[in-house]
Amino acid sequence: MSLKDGEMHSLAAIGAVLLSAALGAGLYGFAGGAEAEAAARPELEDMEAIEASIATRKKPAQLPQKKTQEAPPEPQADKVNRDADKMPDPPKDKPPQDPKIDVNDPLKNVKRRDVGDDTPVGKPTDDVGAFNENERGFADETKGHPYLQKVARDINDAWEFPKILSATNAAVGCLHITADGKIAKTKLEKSRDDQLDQSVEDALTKVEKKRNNNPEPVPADIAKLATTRWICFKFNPQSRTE
Amino acid sequence: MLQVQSPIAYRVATALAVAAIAAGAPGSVARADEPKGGVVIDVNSPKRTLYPIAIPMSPESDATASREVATVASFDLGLAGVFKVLDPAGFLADLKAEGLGVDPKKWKDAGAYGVIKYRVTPGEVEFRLYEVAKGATPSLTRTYPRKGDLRQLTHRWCNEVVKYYTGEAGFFGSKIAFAVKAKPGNAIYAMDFDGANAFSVSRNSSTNMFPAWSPSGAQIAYTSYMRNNPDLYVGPAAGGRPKQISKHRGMNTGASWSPDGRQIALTLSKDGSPDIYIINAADGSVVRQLTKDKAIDTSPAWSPDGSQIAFVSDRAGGPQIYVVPSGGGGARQVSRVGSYNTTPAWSPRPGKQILAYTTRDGATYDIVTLDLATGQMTRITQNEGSNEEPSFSPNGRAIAFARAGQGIYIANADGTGTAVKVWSGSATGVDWGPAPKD
Repeated sequence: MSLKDGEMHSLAAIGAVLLSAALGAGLYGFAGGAEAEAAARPELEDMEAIEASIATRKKPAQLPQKKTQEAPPEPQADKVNRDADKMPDPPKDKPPQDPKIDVNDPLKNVKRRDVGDDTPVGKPTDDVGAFNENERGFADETKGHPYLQKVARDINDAWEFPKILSATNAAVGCLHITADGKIAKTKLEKSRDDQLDQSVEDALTKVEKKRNNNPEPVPADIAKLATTRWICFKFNPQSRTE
Repeated sequence: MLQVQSPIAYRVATALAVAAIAAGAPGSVARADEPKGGVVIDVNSPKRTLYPIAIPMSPESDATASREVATVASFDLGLAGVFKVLDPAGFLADLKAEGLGVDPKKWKDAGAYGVIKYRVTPGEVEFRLYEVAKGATPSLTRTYPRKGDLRQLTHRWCNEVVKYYTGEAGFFGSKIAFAVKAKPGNAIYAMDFDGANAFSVSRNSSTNMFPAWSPSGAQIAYTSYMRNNPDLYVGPAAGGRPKQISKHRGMNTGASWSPDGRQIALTLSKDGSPDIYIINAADGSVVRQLTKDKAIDTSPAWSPDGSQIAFVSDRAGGPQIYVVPSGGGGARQVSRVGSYNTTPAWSPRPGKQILAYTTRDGATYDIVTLDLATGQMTRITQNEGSNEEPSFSPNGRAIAFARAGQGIYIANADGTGTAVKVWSGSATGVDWGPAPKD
């Protein structure tokens, strides 16, 4: 069978229309389905937002390290910041300026009160007094003094007490420090625990040797208080939890 | 120079100060509530050290006996975990002049807190312990008739010394069982904890492994291929013909005795997958099946109070340590660090629930302990070869383990110090026996 040109054109036109209709219907159906699906989803504002950037991979637990010698305690004597990278603390608020002070002549109102220029002040003296065997301890004004704190640190570093021993008492060990920083004498006020006393004796002896080999002169501001009486330390292993 | 003064006023001051501390008074430098003139600086952080003890040779005994006692006592107390045995080179005392006594000052100057003196005669051995701070009177004395060998008497004395200081029994004189390569097969050996007096327990030419001491110390259970299957046998600890206890098809391995010695936990694979079972120690009859899992469950270890059994399972992937009630119930995983944890052993220390086990660390294996109550882990070995199969000493203060290709070592159970070698050669299946009987 053969078709004429007109018939072929007519068939081609019908085919094109049918094909277009089929494609159009498919597209419509797809879009309609998507709309229905979107309608079924919750609104965005109803959903909880999760910040994905904070999710991190959990670090696996690490095996412990074998015990080595216990680190010595941090020295407490001076609280100097040794962190070179640390910025200095910001300055505190400036105190309000006294309106009475003349900024051009701030010393105008400052006068010596008790003495005139001609009043004698006496001879300077280095004599801080002799060591008194019966005096013990030190005055409140010297507590926390860096020098004595260093001595305390030496004492603490030198003190060893076997871990199988326990002590219910405390022993008091004292040093007589001379102005040049040497240890002239030590004494032990015994506890009722012989082995604690032995450990304190050992500690005092070690500090005595160390400071006599490398004496550190007593600063002038505490010379009297630190050299004229016993400087005493209370050794109390009980107060530390192992 | 040291002066000792004890004025009553100062004693009162000290007592008041101590009372103030006891009452929780704050402050670390000076106290305002102390009497005038009694202001002192508190020091309260001593270095907690090992107890320095001197064990000089006895000039009164023959040299061989004297050396043996000093050597054994030094080894024992050095292993106890609480003593530092001083080097004789630092001794200042005149040993001949002192005899069995001591000059406390000389020993104090040598850094000793304790001194052990002894005298060996053909009929007896006399030991004395001095605490030099307490003077020239001995704190402890013992005299033993020379029935046993000198080593055993010295172990016995060292147990007394440990008990004097710690209140706990020592482990000196106890024994360790292990498996070694033999020609042919593998043999079960037992030896004194310090490596002395090793002997074969299994006495057959088959492959023998996984020894386990009975709580009484009279028997050792082990797995043997004597009849071409890994069956469980129990034999006299002194060696001799063993009795076949469990002969199920497949594995009968990894025995662990119940604390009362009546039951044995072990791995059986009679139904295919290896699981943990409890059997009767007398006849091998199955008491109960503790685990039922497709995974491999092995290496049971009975807790000292008898209530729990630790074991290894790969049910979560790699091998991990689990604990299950010995009466049956659900198992819980207790090892959380590391992907490979095996061979658990319980610490016998009363009131504690501590497990030691083998963990993989890179290319090697190490021993760690885990406190089940706190989760605290402690490392026992590190950077010292490949270490496996830990077993606690009878008092729980030490752990024995096998170091691959090197031998058996003993380390402090608190993770301090360095492990000491007690056996040279390839060894596996280390199991530390019970405390020696006096």
